[in-house]
Amino acid sequence: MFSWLIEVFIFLLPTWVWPCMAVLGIAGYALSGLLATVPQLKGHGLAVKLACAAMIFIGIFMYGGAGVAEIYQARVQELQNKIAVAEQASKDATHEVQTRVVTHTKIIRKTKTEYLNRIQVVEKQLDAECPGLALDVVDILNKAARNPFSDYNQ
Amino acid sequence: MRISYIISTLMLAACASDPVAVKMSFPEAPAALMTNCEDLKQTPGTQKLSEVLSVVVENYSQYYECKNRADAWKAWYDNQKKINQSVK
Repeated sequence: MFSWLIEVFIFLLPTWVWPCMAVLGIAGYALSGLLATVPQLKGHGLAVKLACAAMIFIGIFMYGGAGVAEIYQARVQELQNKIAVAEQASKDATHEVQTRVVTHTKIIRKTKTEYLNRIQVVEKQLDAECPGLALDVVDILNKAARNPFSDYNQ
Repeated sequence: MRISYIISTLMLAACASDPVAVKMSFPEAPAALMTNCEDLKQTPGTQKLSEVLSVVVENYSQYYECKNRADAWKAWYDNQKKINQSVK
């Protein structure tokens, strides 16, 4: 809450307000001694001194805060710029991978179709030359092709 | 007097240790990589070599589609890691 309040003041008011406040505080503190010479204001000397001391401290503190806030903002801006460049590079890299996968998949499917067509061409010849394939062949092939984790991944 | 200098310096330093709260968003993976690899196809009970051969060809093709995606995942990850590390 306290730091939030300080941030609000730092961002709302221009930086020059704080050194001015500190300077006014110093001037007020120095001049508060003169109050002792005025009989009507004699009793207020301590209160004015305390108020001026508070002004000095607040002015210096907030000036420091404003300086830090400026550095902080510059770092944030620098990092935001870097991130914007990196995010664009990331999108480009993703797009490149996407394009490559799609292109390669098309080539793989085209190759598959090519070979399936070749099988269709020689289908009759193959089936005539190797009639009655042993069922063990299919069984072995199917068992080898079966995912060994399929029972565990349910 | 010295103490007031020290206090002033500390005050001017204010909250300098605060980390910069800016983060890079997590990249979206390419849509083409978001599909799972299917299990290999099973040959139907047949005595025809042509049918067995067709399933073998389909399975080879399926393997290469899956390999293509796995390789792409690795390439994508390596790229993203490099990009992410450049922002520091």
